[in-house]
Amino acid sequence: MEYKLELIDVCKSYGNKKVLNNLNLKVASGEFLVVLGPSGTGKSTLLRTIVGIEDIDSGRIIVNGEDVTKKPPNKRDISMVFQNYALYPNMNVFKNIAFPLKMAGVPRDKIKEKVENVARLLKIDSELNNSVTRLSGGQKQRVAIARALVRDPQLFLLDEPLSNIDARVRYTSRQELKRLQKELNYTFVYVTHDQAEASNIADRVAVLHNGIIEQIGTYEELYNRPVNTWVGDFIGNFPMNFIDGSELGYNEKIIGFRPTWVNEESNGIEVEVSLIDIEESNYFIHCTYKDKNIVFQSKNKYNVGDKIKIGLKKFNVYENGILKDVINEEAIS
Amino acid sequence: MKSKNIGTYIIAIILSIVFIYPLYVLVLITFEPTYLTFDRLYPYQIPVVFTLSNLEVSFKNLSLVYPVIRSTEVAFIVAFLALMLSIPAGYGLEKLTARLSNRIIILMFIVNMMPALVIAIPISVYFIKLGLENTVIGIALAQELVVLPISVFIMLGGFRSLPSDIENQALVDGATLKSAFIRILLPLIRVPALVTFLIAWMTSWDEFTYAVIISPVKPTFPVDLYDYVSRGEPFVASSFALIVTIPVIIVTVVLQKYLKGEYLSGGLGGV
Amino acid sequence: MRIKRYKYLLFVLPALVYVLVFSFFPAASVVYLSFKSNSVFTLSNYYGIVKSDLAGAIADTLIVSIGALFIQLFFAILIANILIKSLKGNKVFSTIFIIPYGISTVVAAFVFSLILSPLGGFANSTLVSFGFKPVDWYSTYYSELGVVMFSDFWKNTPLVALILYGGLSGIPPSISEAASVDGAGPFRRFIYITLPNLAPYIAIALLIRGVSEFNIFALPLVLIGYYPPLMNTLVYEFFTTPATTPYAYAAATILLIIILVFAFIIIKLGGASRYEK
Repeated sequence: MEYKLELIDVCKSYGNKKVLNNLNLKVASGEFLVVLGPSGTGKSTLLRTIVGIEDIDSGRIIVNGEDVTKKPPNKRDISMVFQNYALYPNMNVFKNIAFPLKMAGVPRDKIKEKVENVARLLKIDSELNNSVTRLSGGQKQRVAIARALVRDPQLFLLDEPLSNIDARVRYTSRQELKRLQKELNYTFVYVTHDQAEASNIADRVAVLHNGIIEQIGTYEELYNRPVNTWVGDFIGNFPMNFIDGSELGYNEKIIGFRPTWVNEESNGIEVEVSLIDIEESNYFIHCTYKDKNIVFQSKNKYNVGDKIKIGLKKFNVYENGILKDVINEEAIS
Repeated sequence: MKSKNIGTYIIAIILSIVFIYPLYVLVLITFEPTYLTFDRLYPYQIPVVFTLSNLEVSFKNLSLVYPVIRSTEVAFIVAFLALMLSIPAGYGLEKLTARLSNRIIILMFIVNMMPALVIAIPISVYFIKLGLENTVIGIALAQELVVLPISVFIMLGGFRSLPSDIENQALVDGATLKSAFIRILLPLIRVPALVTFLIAWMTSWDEFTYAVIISPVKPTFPVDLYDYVSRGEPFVASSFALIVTIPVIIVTVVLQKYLKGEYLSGGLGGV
Repeated sequence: MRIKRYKYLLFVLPALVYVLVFSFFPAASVVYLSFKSNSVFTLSNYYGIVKSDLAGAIADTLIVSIGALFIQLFFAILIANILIKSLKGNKVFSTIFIIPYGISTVVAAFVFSLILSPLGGFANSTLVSFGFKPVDWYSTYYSELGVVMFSDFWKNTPLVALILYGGLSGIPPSISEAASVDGAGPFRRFIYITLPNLAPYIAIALLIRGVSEFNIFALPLVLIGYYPPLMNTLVYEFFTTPATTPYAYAAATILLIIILVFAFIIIKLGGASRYEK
């Protein structure tokens, strides 16, 4: 398998704080990898070390088979879209997009052709002569992406590029970004804290926490088989429910299950309803079980205080916080 | 609401009179014959006669022109040197932690607190040895000391107000440190640079202490004016003072939009 | 990472070294020369200045500096508050308020010497024409210092006002509006909202102006000459009088010590850390 990017044992600290702690990551060519994590976990730092703005303390960074660890950013052939787009306010849209080509010494007529092509691709060709300070958030983001695309680099890094634009525009931008990436067969490393975004566009999602990748896989994998209780808790609209396993014959272990893995059956465990969430046409029933909060999805609308019995269609077994076993429906009955 | 504004207007007008009155007096003594101003115990406040004879006397005395030329030369050197030193310094300080950079700025201000005379007197001794006494360069080098802290402070503010990651973006886009600085950063800091230049220029134009100690024989304009005043013949220089002051006031007023407080206090709030 | 960050110190060094070299060597030679008289080491220079009014000069300088700073601050806040209101004619006012900044100190001092003469002068001319008695602005020691302070206020308030105006325009109006909804009147809004938000700008203005106030020289030299003595005029008097030139070094050394102690106190009082907020 050919990797576009490999991080090997990368360490980075600020003072005493370890931001990246022996981090390993491999990104395949043409892959759309989303790095997901709570804020302040070093997602941006990760991108900054890959692109070379920040040096790493130890480890190696390999881009397209070449070790770039010691190279400055301008020699790494990586594009990056910063969170605030970092457009050059003293240049118009055309000059912003043309800047990387100019730096690479591309002839003038070639620059014009390339800029116009990429502008057409991103539907900003009518804005080329405008000042970047006048653009809307969505347009700014397009200019930033156009500037990243125009020089056809090995790798694209995007640092929460959609966080500064309207919710509605965000959704379409997301789809467009995904389409662009697939059409041009580019490799994207995309940082976000937004799970919806991650589940929507990622080929694979890497969950970054405490300076390491806790788990990497498709969003479904992360949702269904979180490798540890932290990931289970982090992934999903509702955290995974965790209860003591002894009830179900798993002594000293913890049982984890998603709200959708629950069915209401008379021979299950008894829980008391404490709160009801309505989402679209489903009810999410919050209830307490032995001082623990549990959420499950139901078609029935219960009342607060109701005592009901639930069973599990499937569940995961965790020992010392680590995934041990995945038990499906058949196994229970 | 309306009555409150009237109060504000009254205060504003009183302050305006206070601020403009000395300039008015300067105009008065320039264009009024001396028998109505200098020579009277209670000078006339209202212009009754208009004369250009004071100005003629001043301009006949061409020796007044040289100090003005010298002051102008010194001011431009001081302002250019301030840019040369403060732009890199502001750039560097912005990269350091706010804690360290603030300390360096404070250190520069505190060093500047030493009475200028304490510094000027021994400097003049060195400058005599170096042949810099009574030279434009000598005055400029000494005055630079006065303007550097505020210049660095303004430029630090300029760099702190740049969009974050703009320099990083340039590096990622293939620029070297040098080309990122020249093509991206320099155009973006032109306003704080202009403010620095202006303040340095004005400070030098105004500076007296170093000038009087280092260049007593070939005085700058303020020193020369002081010499006339202390010799008891101020009327020769006073009309000349107005003529050289007016352009500076005009420049100040025209460029006042750049002299906004946010540039003067630009280093604030950087974390 | 450490090294990468500190390499940026290199950019700061030229300016920093400039300031330190141009201050340190002169300061060191002042100390050295203060012990020399006719090329022998002696304390005679210090005996010489004991007879003079160095203590008075220091006290006067403090009075003038602190007094001038307060007056400037007061009027600068007033002016900034006027300019921040969108009054008709504000452009004119802001233009007028900046004029003193464009007039050099010696010119200003000269004009004020004409306005505030001990006998007659433009100010008294105004008073007399309104039927008041003329005032001798130089009648007492402290009124003379007052003349210096007033001229200083006139020349330097614009700069302070500019800085504070910048600070005021940075305070979002919504904060003040919220406070008025919460029942705070204009005075309380000023005390609890405006002033705290303005504090860092006031600190900057005080730092920038304070340095210059300590160095006040041209204004008193033109307006009051060598008496009442201020630190700089006293040293200058020693320096320009051939017989007492070495005394200037001794006086300067004492000033240096005072400044160093003063700077040390400022740093210890956390002037730096407060500024960092």
